[in-house]
Formats: sequence, structure tokens, C-alpha cells
Amino acid sequence: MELESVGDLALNLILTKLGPENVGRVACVNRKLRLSADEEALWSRFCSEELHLSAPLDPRGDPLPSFKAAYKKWREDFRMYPWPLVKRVKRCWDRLQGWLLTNFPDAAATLREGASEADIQELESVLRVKLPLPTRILYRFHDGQDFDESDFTENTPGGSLGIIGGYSFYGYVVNVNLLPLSKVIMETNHVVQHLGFSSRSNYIVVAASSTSGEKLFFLNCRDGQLHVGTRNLPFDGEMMPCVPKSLISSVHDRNADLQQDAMLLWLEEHGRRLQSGMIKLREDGGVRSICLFPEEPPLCSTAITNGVRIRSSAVFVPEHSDLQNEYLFAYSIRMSLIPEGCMANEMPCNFCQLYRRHWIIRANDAVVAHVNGDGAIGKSLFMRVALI
Amino acid sequence: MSSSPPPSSAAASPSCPKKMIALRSSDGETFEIEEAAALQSKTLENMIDEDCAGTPIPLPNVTGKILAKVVEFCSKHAEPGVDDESLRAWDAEFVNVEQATVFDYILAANFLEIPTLLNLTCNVVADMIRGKTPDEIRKFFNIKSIFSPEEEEEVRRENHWAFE
Repeated sequence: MELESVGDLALNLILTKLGPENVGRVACVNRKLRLSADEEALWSRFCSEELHLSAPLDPRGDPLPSFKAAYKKWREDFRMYPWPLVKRVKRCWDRLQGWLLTNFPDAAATLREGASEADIQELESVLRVKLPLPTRILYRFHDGQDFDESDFTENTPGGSLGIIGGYSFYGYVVNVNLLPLSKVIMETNHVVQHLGFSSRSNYIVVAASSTSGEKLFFLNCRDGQLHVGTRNLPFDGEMMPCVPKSLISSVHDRNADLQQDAMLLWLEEHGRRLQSGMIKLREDGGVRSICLFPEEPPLCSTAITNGVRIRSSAVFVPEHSDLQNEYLFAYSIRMSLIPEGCMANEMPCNFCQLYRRHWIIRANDAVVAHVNGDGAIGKSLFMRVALI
Repeated sequence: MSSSPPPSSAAASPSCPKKMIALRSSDGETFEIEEAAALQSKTLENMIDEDCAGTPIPLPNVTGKILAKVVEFCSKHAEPGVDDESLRAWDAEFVNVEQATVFDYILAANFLEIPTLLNLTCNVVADMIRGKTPDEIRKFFNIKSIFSPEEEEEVRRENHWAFE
């Protein structure tokens, strides 16, 4: 009684339970087992489960003749990294890219192809750093964003297609994009020179606002933390961490069980917020961009009075904050009429005009400011119920 | 004639007598199995539905030795009131047998379409294979390899990523 004689159905079930690595080894045992181990149905399933591929595509998205060949290509192309980490990074990008393709295809189009190992090694040699493992893999999938002339218009002098997005208030506009390795090198050299970081500094610039030079994100390659520059950055290099330190682990250790650096954690969280609708696209003067003002509870509050819905949320502005003295927040207040219209003197009404406003701003239950004024900074907002 | 010991648990409806199905192995032994237990096997279920369950059902692919154990398995899994943990422990004991016997169970589970038994036994074999190199797999299962040197090289190249 031999292993091969258990029948194709049972063999297939056994191999399914074993997973790709063990099936690859079983294929090397003898001819009969090789046939069973090479079955496309098995590899189609492994490609689907591990890489969410429904077609046999290689890491560049080019088709291959079989799922078995596709799986092999993926494993070979990423053999220098722990496979579970590669799968995790792919899931992170799939989520971000998936959201962009559905909701913001113009921005999705700016995502570049992955960098090669040679590109990464060049950056490491020029900047004299060693990228944390998760970040390397992130760049292997997509080498930042590319913009062309048409992305910078009169309305969007700095571009609006940053996949990290931003905010705007009083004419100050922030829109953060991910830098490709070539720009990482340029910006890091530029900043290091200007800010007087020592040339052995472990910091590289990974993301920046295209609209103003004021918001810069730095990755510390030694410990894997991400920092954003405060308003004191030009003077004393002050920056603040973006991700809880306790979450960062084993960023350079291929043999550890779990590697996560701030760049991966940051992008995963960003993807989650986009997907859950916590942050959304906003349109301003015909220009769409990802807006970081939260749109869902608990970070966004809503109240409805007499049919008028008011939503408010705030965003932290680190590049105008000062770690010693003050943290700056910007707030966004949005008003609309509920579909049923509003009540005025107990009469139903389907339009409403904002006349005056009075904000009471609290921090931890202590009132920190009152804002009183007409309409909205001189504009009276007129809201109308949309007639379907 | 031999038959399996009757299960000790009560039937779902105590007022009805337990319906027994008779099975005959390839080597002529007859076994009795409660209908509820027989329903674990899709093959038997179909036969019972089609009312062929009157005379002993011949099972030419299963020997008496194996059929006895399969009846035991199905009866145990049809018993009400057994908690998951005890069932798992019982299953582990059930498959704690020689390699060849596990294969026989697989063939029987396949032929009789008993998903629980098939799943259990395939898990056992998967556990035997997991983590072994091709050489170790050959030794463990006493498999002869007849790859030509070119085939051997080709298959190793195709699957080298599985060894890193």
C-alpha cells in the first residue's frame, strides 16, 4: 500500500492541507507525485489565498502561462525577504491601490512600478543607510508617485494627487505624496545639507507635501520610526514621531517572527481609514483630493437641530506646531440640511441661510477659545435641500 | 459472522426501534450499523434513500478488518452528546495506527464518501509529510523514485524556492 495509491481526490486534499512549500517538495519525490503536485487547481488556490490573484500574473502584472509558474515567480522575486512579510505588504498595497482605483483613479495612475533590488541598493549606498525590511518591500511594490506637467494646474499649483492627502485652511494647502527613491535621495541630501544633520544621519525623506515645502516626513532607517517635521524643523531639526513606538519591531531582522516598521504601520492605517470612510475625497473648487479631516465618529461629531445637520472634526497640524509651546489643530465644520428639510417657526422649509456663528472650542473640557462672527468668514452660506 | 458491538447511546427517538443496516465486506464478513451512523457515508445514504438497504450491502472495496473500524468511526461520530474535545481525542487514538492502515482508511473513506474520516486521515498523512525533504519523504513512505537525472534536475529547478 503506497502513498500514491490513495487516489487523486485524497492526494489533492492532502496537498491542499500542506501548503505551497511542502507541495513544492512533494513534487520532487517521484513522477506520480510530481503530477499531483503540479495540478493547476492547487496552485490557483495557493495564488488566490496567499496573493489574492485570480489570474496567473507576475509581480509586474504581466501574465504567465500557469498559476504554478506565477507562484514560483513571486517566490523567486521576493526570496530575499520573509514570505509572510511580503504577503502583508502586498495586502497593504492592494487595499490602498484598490481604494484609489475605485475612488480616485487619477491618483492611482501616479503610483509607480516597484523599484528593483539594484535601485534600493543604490539608494542605500548613496545615502549610507540600510532601509528597514518592511520599507524595502514597500518600495519593491511601488516606487512612490510620479507626477507629470498636467497634474500641476492653476487650481492645483502643488498638485492634489498625493495618496496621503492633506487639508487646507485660510489658503494654506497641504497635499502629501510618497516620494520615489530618486527623489528620496535628492530631498534627503538637500535637507541634510540645509538642516545640518550629520552626514551619518539615519534619516531619509520619504513623503512631502507638494504644495508647500513645509511638511516633510522622515524615516529613521535604524529604528524604523517615521517622524514629521514641526515648525522648528528649519531651526533645530525638531520632528515628532508618527507611530506608537511600541508597535515597531525587528525592522532589520529577517529571522524574527514579526517585522513591522512605522512606514508599513502608517500606510496600513491610512488604507484602513480610507476604506472605512473615516477619511474621504473632498472637492474644493472643482479639485478633488484626499482630505484628512475625519468624516466618521468618533473623530467626527454630528448634531442635528431643527433639521440642520452640523458635522465637525479637527486635524492636527504638526508642521505649524511647536513641541515646547503649542500644538496647532485646524477644524472643519460642515453644514447641510437633512433630506426632510428644516423647521422654521414650526413650518417646514427646504432652504436655510447661515447668518451668524459662535464656536466654543474646548480642550479636555476646558474652554480654550470662542469664535464669533457672521456667516463664514464674510460669506453667508446658503444651504438648499437637494430635490431629487 | 461477526458484528460490531451496539452503540451504548440512546437513539434520537426512543420510541422507534433503531434501524440497523447490514454491510458485507469484500471477504464476506457481515457488520451491522445503525442507520444514523450509516448516514455519515454519502454512498450508504444514497443507497438507503433508494431503499436498497434491505439485504446486506456488498462493499467489494473494503475488507472486514477495515470495515469494522469504519463502522466504529461512524457510530462514534453519530453519538449525541459527545463534546468536541473528547471526540478529537478519540479521533487521534483512532488514527494512531500503522501507515498502511491509514491509507486503507483513506481508500474506504473515499469509496464510502465519509468526509469526516477522509479529512481526519488526510490530515494525518499531511502531518507525516510536512517539513520533510523529498529524500525524507521517500524514506518515510518507502517510495522509489524513477526520475531520470534530467527530470530530477528540472523538477529541483522548478521548485528550488520551496527549499529556501
